[in-house]
Amino acid sequence: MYKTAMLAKDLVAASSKPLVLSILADGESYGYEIIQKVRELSGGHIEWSDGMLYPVLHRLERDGLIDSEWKEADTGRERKYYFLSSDGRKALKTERQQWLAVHNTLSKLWKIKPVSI
Amino acid sequence: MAGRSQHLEQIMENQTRFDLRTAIESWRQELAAQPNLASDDRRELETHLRDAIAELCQRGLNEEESFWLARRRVGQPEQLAEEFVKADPAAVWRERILWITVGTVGCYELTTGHGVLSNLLDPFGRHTGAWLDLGLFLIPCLTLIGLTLMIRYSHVPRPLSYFGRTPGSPGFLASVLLVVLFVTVLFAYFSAGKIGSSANDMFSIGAMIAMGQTWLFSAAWPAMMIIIVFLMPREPTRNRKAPKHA
Repeated sequence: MYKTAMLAKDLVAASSKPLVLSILADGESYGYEIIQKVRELSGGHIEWSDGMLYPVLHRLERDGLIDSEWKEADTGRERKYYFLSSDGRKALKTERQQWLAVHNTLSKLWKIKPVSI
Repeated sequence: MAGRSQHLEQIMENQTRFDLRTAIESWRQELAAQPNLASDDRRELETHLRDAIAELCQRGLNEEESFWLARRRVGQPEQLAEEFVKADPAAVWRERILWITVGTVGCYELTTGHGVLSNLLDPFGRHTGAWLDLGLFLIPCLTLIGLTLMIRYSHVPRPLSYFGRTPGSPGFLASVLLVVLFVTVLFAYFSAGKIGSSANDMFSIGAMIAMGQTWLFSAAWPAMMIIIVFLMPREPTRNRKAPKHA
Protein backbone atom coordinates (compact mmCIF):
# COMPACT_ATOMS: atom_id res chain seq x y z
CA MET A 1 0.00 0.00 0.00
CA TYR A 2 2.81 2.39 0.90
CA LYS A 3 5.82 2.77 -1.34
CA THR A 4 8.09 3.82 1.51
CA ALA A 5 8.13 1.73 4.66
CA MET A 6 6.09 2.93 7.62
CA LEU A 7 7.88 4.25 10.66
CA ALA A 8 9.14 1.55 13.05
CA LYS A 9 7.13 1.13 16.23
CA ASP A 10 9.75 2.49 18.63
CA LEU A 11 10.37 5.46 16.38
CA VAL A 12 6.64 6.21 16.33
CA ALA A 13 6.60 6.12 20.12
CA ALA A 14 9.66 8.34 20.46
CA SER A 15 8.48 10.94 17.96
CA SER A 16 4.97 11.24 19.37
CA LYS A 17 6.03 13.70 22.06
CA PRO A 18 7.71 16.32 19.84
CA LEU A 19 4.97 15.91 17.24
CA VAL A 20 2.13 16.52 19.69
CA LEU A 21 3.93 19.41 21.37
CA SER A 22 4.73 21.04 18.03
CA ILE A 23 1.16 20.73 16.80
CA LEU A 24 -0.18 22.22 20.02
CA ALA A 25 2.36 25.05 19.80
CA ASP A 26 0.33 26.28 16.83
CA GLY A 27 -2.80 26.44 18.96
CA GLU A 28 -5.17 24.19 20.83
CA SER A 29 -6.41 21.01 19.22
CA TYR A 30 -8.21 17.74 19.94
CA GLY A 31 -7.25 14.11 19.44
CA TYR A 32 -8.92 13.51 16.12
CA GLU A 33 -7.51 16.65 14.57
CA ILE A 34 -3.99 15.89 15.84
CA ILE A 35 -4.04 12.45 14.21
CA GLN A 36 -5.31 13.90 10.94
CA LYS A 37 -2.62 16.55 10.97
CA VAL A 38 0.17 14.04 11.58
CA ARG A 39 -1.12 11.79 8.82
CA GLU A 40 -1.33 14.72 6.45
CA LEU A 41 2.06 16.26 7.27
CA SER A 42 3.93 12.96 7.12
CA GLY A 43 2.40 12.09 3.79
CA GLY A 44 1.05 8.88 5.29
CA HIS A 45 4.39 7.65 6.63
CA ILE A 46 3.38 8.19 10.23
CA GLU A 47 0.11 6.44 10.88
CA TRP A 48 -0.99 6.50 14.50
CA SER A 49 -3.67 4.08 15.51
CA ASP A 50 -6.46 6.32 16.68
CA GLY A 51 -6.95 5.05 20.20
CA MET A 52 -3.26 5.07 21.04
CA LEU A 53 -2.85 8.83 20.84
CA TYR A 54 -4.95 9.42 23.94
CA PRO A 55 -2.64 7.63 26.38
CA VAL A 56 0.18 9.76 24.94
CA LEU A 57 -1.86 12.92 25.49
CA HIS A 58 -2.77 11.86 29.02
CA ARG A 59 0.85 11.12 29.85
CA LEU A 60 1.91 14.55 28.62
CA GLU A 61 -0.89 16.10 30.63
CA ARG A 62 0.17 14.26 33.75
CA ASP A 63 3.72 15.51 33.23
CA GLY A 64 2.32 19.04 33.10
CA LEU A 65 3.41 19.69 29.53
CA ILE A 66 -0.10 20.12 28.20
CA ASP A 67 -3.49 20.97 29.71
CA SER A 68 -6.97 20.03 28.63
CA GLU A 69 -10.47 21.37 28.73
CA TRP A 70 -13.84 20.18 27.48
CA LYS A 71 -15.26 22.74 25.12
CA GLU A 72 -18.11 22.96 22.72
CA ALA A 73 -17.02 23.10 19.09
CA ASP A 74 -18.73 25.26 16.45
CA THR A 75 -20.72 22.21 15.40
CA GLY A 76 -22.27 22.07 18.87
CA ARG A 77 -20.41 18.87 19.72
CA GLU A 78 -18.24 18.75 22.81
CA ARG A 79 -14.58 17.90 22.47
CA LYS A 80 -11.65 17.68 24.80
CA TYR A 81 -9.17 20.32 23.67
CA TYR A 82 -5.52 20.18 24.57
CA PHE A 83 -3.17 23.14 24.77
CA LEU A 84 0.49 23.69 25.55
CA SER A 85 1.51 24.77 29.06
CA SER A 86 4.55 26.93 29.75
CA ASP A 87 6.47 23.82 30.82
CA GLY A 88 5.42 22.21 27.55
CA ARG A 89 6.88 25.10 25.61
CA LYS A 90 10.19 24.63 27.39
CA ALA A 91 10.08 20.88 26.78
CA LEU A 92 9.44 21.49 23.10
CA LYS A 93 12.53 23.65 22.87
CA THR A 94 14.67 20.85 24.33
CA GLU A 95 13.03 18.24 22.11
CA ARG A 96 13.68 20.41 19.08
CA GLN A 97 17.36 20.75 19.86
CA GLN A 98 17.76 17.02 20.44
CA TRP A 99 15.93 15.94 17.32
CA LEU A 100 17.80 18.43 15.18
CA ALA A 101 21.10 17.18 16.66
CA VAL A 102 20.22 13.66 15.51
CA HIS A 103 19.03 15.01 12.18
CA ASN A 104 22.26 16.97 11.62
CA THR A 105 24.48 14.05 12.49
CA LEU A 106 22.64 11.84 10.04
CA SER A 107 22.62 14.62 7.47
CA LYS A 108 26.39 14.90 7.59
CA LEU A 109 26.76 11.16 7.20
CA TRP A 110 24.31 11.09 4.32
CA LYS A 111 25.77 14.28 2.79
CA ILE A 112 22.54 16.25 3.09
CA LYS A 113 22.58 19.94 3.98
CA PRO A 114 22.24 20.31 7.78
CA VAL A 115 19.87 22.82 9.41
CA SER A 116 20.72 25.37 12.07
CA ILE A 117 19.57 24.38 15.57
CA MET B 1 -47.41 -16.20 -2.69
CA ALA B 2 -45.10 -13.72 -4.32
CA GLY B 3 -46.70 -10.91 -2.36
CA ARG B 4 -46.13 -12.77 0.87
CA SER B 5 -42.42 -13.36 0.31
CA GLN B 6 -42.02 -9.72 -0.60
CA HIS B 7 -43.72 -8.83 2.66
CA LEU B 8 -41.37 -11.14 4.57
CA GLU B 9 -38.37 -9.61 2.89
CA GLN B 10 -39.53 -6.20 3.92
CA ILE B 11 -39.87 -7.32 7.52
CA MET B 12 -36.38 -8.79 7.50
CA GLU B 13 -34.96 -5.65 6.01
CA ASN B 14 -36.60 -3.58 8.69
CA GLN B 15 -35.22 -5.81 11.40
CA THR B 16 -31.65 -5.63 10.18
CA ARG B 17 -31.72 -1.96 9.33
CA PHE B 18 -28.72 -0.27 10.86
CA ASP B 19 -29.32 2.30 13.54
CA LEU B 20 -26.31 4.46 14.27
CA ARG B 21 -27.54 5.53 17.66
CA THR B 22 -28.05 1.96 18.86
CA ALA B 23 -24.70 0.95 17.44
CA ILE B 24 -22.87 3.75 19.26
CA GLU B 25 -24.80 2.96 22.42
CA SER B 26 -23.74 -0.70 22.36
CA TRP B 27 -20.15 0.32 21.64
CA ARG B 28 -20.31 2.67 24.57
CA GLN B 29 -21.47 -0.18 26.78
CA GLU B 30 -18.57 -2.29 25.62
CA LEU B 31 -16.23 0.48 26.71
CA ALA B 32 -18.06 0.86 30.01
CA ALA B 33 -17.43 -2.83 30.68
CA GLN B 34 -13.71 -2.05 30.89
CA PRO B 35 -12.99 -1.28 34.53
CA ASN B 36 -9.79 0.55 33.66
CA LEU B 37 -11.39 3.24 31.55
CA ALA B 38 -12.49 6.35 33.44
CA SER B 39 -15.70 7.98 32.27
CA ASP B 40 -13.76 10.96 30.97
CA ASP B 41 -11.65 8.66 28.79
CA ARG B 42 -14.77 6.99 27.45
CA ARG B 43 -16.32 10.32 26.64
CA GLU B 44 -13.20 11.40 24.81
CA LEU B 45 -13.09 8.18 22.79
CA GLU B 46 -16.75 8.62 21.90
CA THR B 47 -16.18 12.12 20.51
CA HIS B 48 -13.36 10.62 18.49
CA LEU B 49 -15.57 7.85 17.13
CA ARG B 50 -18.26 10.36 16.20
CA ASP B 51 -15.73 12.58 14.43
CA ALA B 52 -14.42 9.59 12.50
CA ILE B 53 -17.94 8.49 11.51
CA ALA B 54 -18.85 11.99 10.38
CA GLU B 55 -15.75 12.21 8.22
CA LEU B 56 -16.26 8.79 6.64
CA CYS B 57 -19.90 9.62 5.92
CA GLN B 58 -18.75 12.78 4.20
CA ARG B 59 -16.46 10.72 2.01
CA GLY B 60 -19.48 8.82 0.75
CA LEU B 61 -19.66 5.75 2.98
CA ASN B 62 -23.04 4.89 4.48
CA GLU B 63 -23.65 5.04 8.21
CA GLU B 64 -23.09 1.34 8.82
CA GLU B 65 -19.82 1.17 6.91
CA SER B 66 -18.62 4.36 8.57
CA PHE B 67 -19.42 3.04 12.00
CA TRP B 68 -17.60 -0.26 11.56
CA LEU B 69 -14.56 1.32 9.99
CA ALA B 70 -14.36 4.06 12.65
CA ARG B 71 -14.79 1.48 15.38
CA ARG B 72 -11.95 -0.58 13.98
CA ARG B 73 -9.72 2.45 13.74
CA VAL B 74 -10.33 3.46 17.35
CA GLY B 75 -9.29 -0.01 18.48
CA GLN B 76 -10.34 -2.91 20.67
CA PRO B 77 -11.79 -1.83 24.05
CA GLU B 78 -9.52 -4.24 25.99
CA GLN B 79 -6.40 -2.95 24.25
CA LEU B 80 -7.46 0.65 24.76
CA ALA B 81 -8.04 0.08 28.46
CA GLU B 82 -4.57 -1.45 28.81
CA GLU B 83 -2.89 1.51 27.16
CA PHE B 84 -4.93 4.07 29.06
CA VAL B 85 -4.14 2.55 32.41
CA LYS B 86 -0.43 2.57 31.57
CA ALA B 87 -0.56 6.29 30.86
CA ASP B 88 -2.30 7.25 34.08
CA PRO B 89 -2.65 4.35 36.55
CA ALA B 90 -4.33 6.48 39.22
CA ALA B 91 -7.01 8.00 36.96
CA VAL B 92 -9.62 5.33 37.55
CA TRP B 93 -9.17 5.37 41.29
CA ARG B 94 -9.28 9.13 41.42
CA GLU B 95 -12.66 9.00 39.81
CA ARG B 96 -13.89 6.16 42.01
CA ILE B 97 -12.90 7.97 45.18
CA LEU B 98 -14.60 11.12 43.95
CA TRP B 99 -17.81 9.16 43.43
CA ILE B 100 -17.52 7.53 46.85
CA THR B 101 -17.13 11.03 48.27
CA VAL B 102 -20.23 12.21 46.44
CA GLY B 103 -22.09 9.29 47.99
CA THR B 104 -20.87 10.00 51.50
CA VAL B 105 -21.57 13.73 51.39
CA GLY B 106 -24.95 12.93 49.84
CA CYS B 107 -25.77 10.53 52.69
CA TYR B 108 -24.82 13.17 55.22
CA GLU B 109 -27.13 15.65 53.53
CA LEU B 110 -29.97 13.17 53.43
CA THR B 111 -29.69 12.21 57.09
CA THR B 112 -29.32 15.75 58.40
CA GLY B 113 -31.62 17.61 55.98
CA HIS B 114 -34.83 16.62 57.70
CA GLY B 115 -33.70 17.73 61.15
CA VAL B 116 -32.33 21.04 59.89
CA LEU B 117 -35.56 21.89 58.13
CA SER B 118 -37.82 20.94 61.02
CA ASN B 119 -35.70 22.98 63.46
CA LEU B 120 -35.75 25.97 61.15
CA LEU B 121 -39.49 25.80 60.48
CA ASP B 122 -40.44 25.12 64.09
CA PRO B 123 -43.29 27.59 64.85
CA PHE B 124 -42.24 27.81 68.51
CA GLY B 125 -38.72 28.92 67.56
CA ARG B 126 -37.08 27.18 70.48
CA HIS B 127 -34.04 26.04 68.54
CA THR B 128 -31.43 28.76 68.73
CA GLY B 129 -28.87 26.68 66.85
CA ALA B 130 -31.10 26.34 63.80
CA TRP B 131 -29.18 28.84 61.66
CA LEU B 132 -25.87 27.24 62.52
CA ASP B 133 -27.33 23.88 61.57
CA LEU B 134 -28.48 25.36 58.29
CA GLY B 135 -24.94 26.55 57.63
CA LEU B 136 -23.57 23.13 58.48
CA PHE B 137 -26.07 21.75 56.01
CA LEU B 138 -25.49 24.23 53.18
CA ILE B 139 -21.69 24.04 53.03
CA PRO B 140 -21.57 20.32 52.23
CA CYS B 141 -24.53 20.86 49.93
CA LEU B 142 -22.46 23.29 47.86
CA THR B 143 -19.57 20.86 48.02
CA LEU B 144 -21.80 18.18 46.61
CA ILE B 145 -22.83 20.35 43.68
CA GLY B 146 -19.25 21.44 43.04
CA LEU B 147 -18.01 17.88 43.18
CA THR B 148 -20.57 16.60 40.74
CA LEU B 149 -19.73 19.43 38.35
CA MET B 150 -16.08 18.60 38.74
CA ILE B 151 -16.58 14.97 37.78
CA ARG B 152 -18.82 16.00 34.92
CA TYR B 153 -16.34 18.44 33.40
CA SER B 154 -13.20 16.63 34.63
CA HIS B 155 -11.81 19.95 35.84
CA VAL B 156 -12.31 22.32 38.71
CA PRO B 157 -15.52 24.22 37.87
CA ARG B 158 -15.00 27.87 36.93
CA PRO B 159 -16.13 29.62 40.15
CA LEU B 160 -14.02 27.29 42.27
CA SER B 161 -10.97 27.56 40.06
CA TYR B 162 -11.32 31.34 40.25
CA PHE B 163 -10.96 31.14 44.04
CA GLY B 164 -8.10 28.76 43.67
CA ARG B 165 -6.21 30.92 41.21
CA THR B 166 -6.44 34.40 42.63
CA PRO B 167 -3.93 33.93 45.43
CA GLY B 168 -1.82 31.62 43.34
CA SER B 169 -2.58 27.95 43.63
CA PRO B 170 -5.06 25.24 44.60
CA GLY B 171 -2.89 24.93 47.70
CA PHE B 172 -4.36 28.20 48.93
CA LEU B 173 -7.89 26.93 48.34
CA ALA B 174 -6.99 23.78 50.23
CA SER B 175 -5.73 25.67 53.27
CA VAL B 176 -8.75 28.02 53.34
CA LEU B 177 -11.02 25.00 53.19
CA LEU B 178 -9.08 23.33 55.98
CA VAL B 179 -9.58 26.33 58.26
CA VAL B 180 -13.30 26.51 57.43
CA LEU B 181 -13.62 22.80 58.11
CA PHE B 182 -11.80 22.97 61.38
CA VAL B 183 -14.08 25.75 62.62
CA THR B 184 -17.24 23.99 61.47
CA VAL B 185 -16.24 20.71 63.07
CA LEU B 186 -15.60 22.50 66.35
CA PHE B 187 -18.98 24.19 66.14
CA ALA B 188 -20.67 20.94 65.30
CA TYR B 189 -18.95 19.24 68.20
CA PHE B 190 -19.98 21.87 70.74
CA SER B 191 -23.56 22.14 69.49
CA ALA B 192 -23.84 18.36 69.73
CA GLY B 193 -22.50 18.56 73.29
CA LYS B 194 -25.15 21.12 74.20
CA ILE B 195 -27.95 18.93 72.91
CA GLY B 196 -26.62 16.06 74.99
CA SER B 197 -26.39 18.01 78.24
CA SER B 198 -29.87 19.49 77.98
CA ALA B 199 -31.44 16.09 77.45
CA ASN B 200 -32.97 14.26 80.38
CA ASP B 201 -31.42 10.92 79.66
CA MET B 202 -27.93 12.37 79.47
CA PHE B 203 -26.18 9.32 80.81
CA SER B 204 -28.05 6.70 78.89
CA ILE B 205 -26.09 4.67 76.37
CA GLY B 206 -28.53 5.74 73.67
CA ALA B 207 -27.74 9.41 74.18
CA MET B 208 -24.02 8.72 74.09
CA ILE B 209 -24.31 6.78 70.87
CA ALA B 210 -26.42 9.58 69.41
CA MET B 211 -23.78 12.13 70.38
CA GLY B 212 -21.03 10.05 68.87
CA GLN B 213 -23.03 9.70 65.69
CA THR B 214 -23.65 13.42 65.42
CA TRP B 215 -19.98 14.07 65.84
CA LEU B 216 -18.99 11.43 63.32
CA PHE B 217 -21.39 12.80 60.76
CA SER B 218 -20.12 16.33 61.26
CA ALA B 219 -16.56 15.13 60.90
CA ALA B 220 -17.22 12.90 57.92
CA TRP B 221 -17.86 15.51 55.29
CA PRO B 222 -14.95 17.79 56.20
CA ALA B 223 -12.68 14.78 55.92
CA MET B 224 -14.23 14.12 52.55
CA MET B 225 -13.62 17.69 51.44
CA ILE B 226 -9.98 17.43 52.33
CA ILE B 227 -9.76 14.31 50.19
CA ILE B 228 -11.46 16.17 47.36
CA VAL B 229 -9.00 19.02 47.50
CA PHE B 230 -6.09 16.64 47.22
CA LEU B 231 -7.72 14.73 44.39
CA MET B 232 -8.63 17.85 42.47
CA PRO B 233 -7.62 17.55 38.83
CA ARG B 234 -4.99 20.04 37.88
CA GLU B 235 -6.48 23.30 36.72
CA PRO B 236 -5.78 24.58 33.24
CA THR B 237 -3.16 27.31 32.98
CA ARG B 238 -4.52 30.78 32.61
CA ASN B 239 -2.90 32.08 29.45
CA ARG B 240 -4.36 29.64 27.03
CA LYS B 241 -3.35 31.42 23.86
CA ALA B 242 -0.19 29.74 22.67
CA PRO B 243 2.24 31.92 20.70
CA LYS B 244 2.49 31.20 17.01
CA HIS B 245 6.01 29.82 17.30
CA ALA B 246 7.62 27.54 19.83
